[in-house]
Amino acid sequence: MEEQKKPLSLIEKMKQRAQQQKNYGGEYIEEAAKVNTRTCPNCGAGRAENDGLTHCAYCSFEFLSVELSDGINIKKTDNSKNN
Amino acid sequence: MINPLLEPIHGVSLQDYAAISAKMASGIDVKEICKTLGIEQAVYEEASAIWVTRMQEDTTWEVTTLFGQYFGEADQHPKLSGLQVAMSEDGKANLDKIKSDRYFYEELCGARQAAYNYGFDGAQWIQDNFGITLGDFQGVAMKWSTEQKAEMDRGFYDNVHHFLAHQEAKQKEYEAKFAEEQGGNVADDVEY
Amino acid sequence: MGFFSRKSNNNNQLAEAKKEMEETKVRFFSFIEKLEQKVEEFSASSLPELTEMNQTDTDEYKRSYQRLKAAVIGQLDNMQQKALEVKNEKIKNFELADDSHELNDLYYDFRNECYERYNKLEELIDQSKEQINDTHSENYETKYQSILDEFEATKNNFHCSQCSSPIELTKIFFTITYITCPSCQTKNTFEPSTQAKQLEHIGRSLAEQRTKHLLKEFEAMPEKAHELYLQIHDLELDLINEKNKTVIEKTNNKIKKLEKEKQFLEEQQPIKYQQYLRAMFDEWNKINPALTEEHERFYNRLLTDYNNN
Repeated sequence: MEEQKKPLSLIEKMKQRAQQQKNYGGEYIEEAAKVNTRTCPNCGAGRAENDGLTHCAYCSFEFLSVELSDGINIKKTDNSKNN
Repeated sequence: MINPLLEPIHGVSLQDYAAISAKMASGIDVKEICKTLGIEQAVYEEASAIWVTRMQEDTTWEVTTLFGQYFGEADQHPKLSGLQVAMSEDGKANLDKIKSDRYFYEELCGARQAAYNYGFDGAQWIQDNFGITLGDFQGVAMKWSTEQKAEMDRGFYDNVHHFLAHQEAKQKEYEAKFAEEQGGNVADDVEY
Repeated sequence: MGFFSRKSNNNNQLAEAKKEMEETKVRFFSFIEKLEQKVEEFSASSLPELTEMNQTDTDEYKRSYQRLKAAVIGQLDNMQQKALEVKNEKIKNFELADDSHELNDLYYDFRNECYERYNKLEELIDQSKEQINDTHSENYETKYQSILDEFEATKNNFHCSQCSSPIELTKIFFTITYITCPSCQTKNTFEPSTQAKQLEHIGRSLAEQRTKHLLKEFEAMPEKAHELYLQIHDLELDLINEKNKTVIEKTNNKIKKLEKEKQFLEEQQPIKYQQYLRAMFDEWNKINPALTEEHERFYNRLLTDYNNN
């Protein structure tokens, strides 16, 4: 009878330990989709399609310090022309 | 002839991508990383998705190998090396120690494996007990792995066996401690 | 005089060694049997707990379940290690009094019996591990459907942050992206939901799940070929001492037929693998068409790897 008990209580201990632990990297949080826009911190202008994503069309503020290539949705044509 | 699969994506090079991954594994927020690099999260997410596909299509393994190397060198990244997560004094000391003391590094590898074998989140356990983040640990692992491979390429295998034996011995020690904490192993009362 | 006393000494030694080996064997078998009981008891008590935890773990990565599974397998490995250490100490390193031919013969028989007994324990542990791993199930169809449902329910809910005009989503984005407002032309930043961001990852897992039967058919082929090889081998052995011409001819015909079957099976293997890969990637492309080109290059890479091996 004693020998029967040991495996069961060990499994119970293991189960508790498995459930109580902290996950490395934190808990998984579900977030909904959202939309926002980035405006130029210098002059407050928004980014329009024709002006590209990398620089502000009005004051040349650098939004992105990289040159965009052809990716998934972002394309080379999204580079601003007036940098 | 440079492998075309090594071309940066939206200006995010493989070195950048590897360093970003290492910093994220160390607990640094992706928003802060993007800000430091001068990119937006949209750019990072596309670059990340495509770097994964580059590794998938590469028959030469060059992209994956270099990723590992750069991951281990995240602290030398020109822009991201400055991003550090807060560490305890012990954590800093232990991190320095696994970088320079191969025995201690292998001990922690054994300890981490022992932790997994007793149902712990190994990465969390290392963080809780030694103050080292997963990202930092993996970075150091890459360096030792590169050094070991270089030795093996020269036909020198002694260290491989020596340190494996040390790691295994340490794993056994830690397993014994975990076993004691949980009240023993399943077959403790079975003897020859 | 010396020769005869030496011979009777050897006979004594042999009898003693035999007795010792028999005792060791009995003791070893009993030890292995007790371990097997523990393996069976422990697996029996773990499986329902694992099954339950797999179903009730609400974490996206089922980390509590993974931890419990690692701990259970850790215990099985621990028992196997215990058996291995005893096997090495008591059987492999069994001390022989001398290097005589008779003693060695005795030893090899004793050793083989014990090794076979140990192998049965190993088989049992492997089977248990398989059952334990089978407690993991993930319903990727449900996860994918959830993404599709969310898209249908929300695709018309978004508005330009600058001018509030409606922005309609035309496809499922899995990375943060820029969408141009059709009214004011402002580039809005659209961030997909957490689950939508998993589309590529879930896509692969679901594609693999949907085509698993094809992969299993491919994986079963080497064993089938091996079975045919064994049948051929047995027939060839039969031929060695066969004198009857009719029987020889019949057997040779059987062998030819089996060899043809085996050859066909081996030719089919790469075709079967390519069929599986093609089906899997076709599913993946259906789920996340945005990365079709990249998927195709991955498909070609996998085929190249297979053909080079």
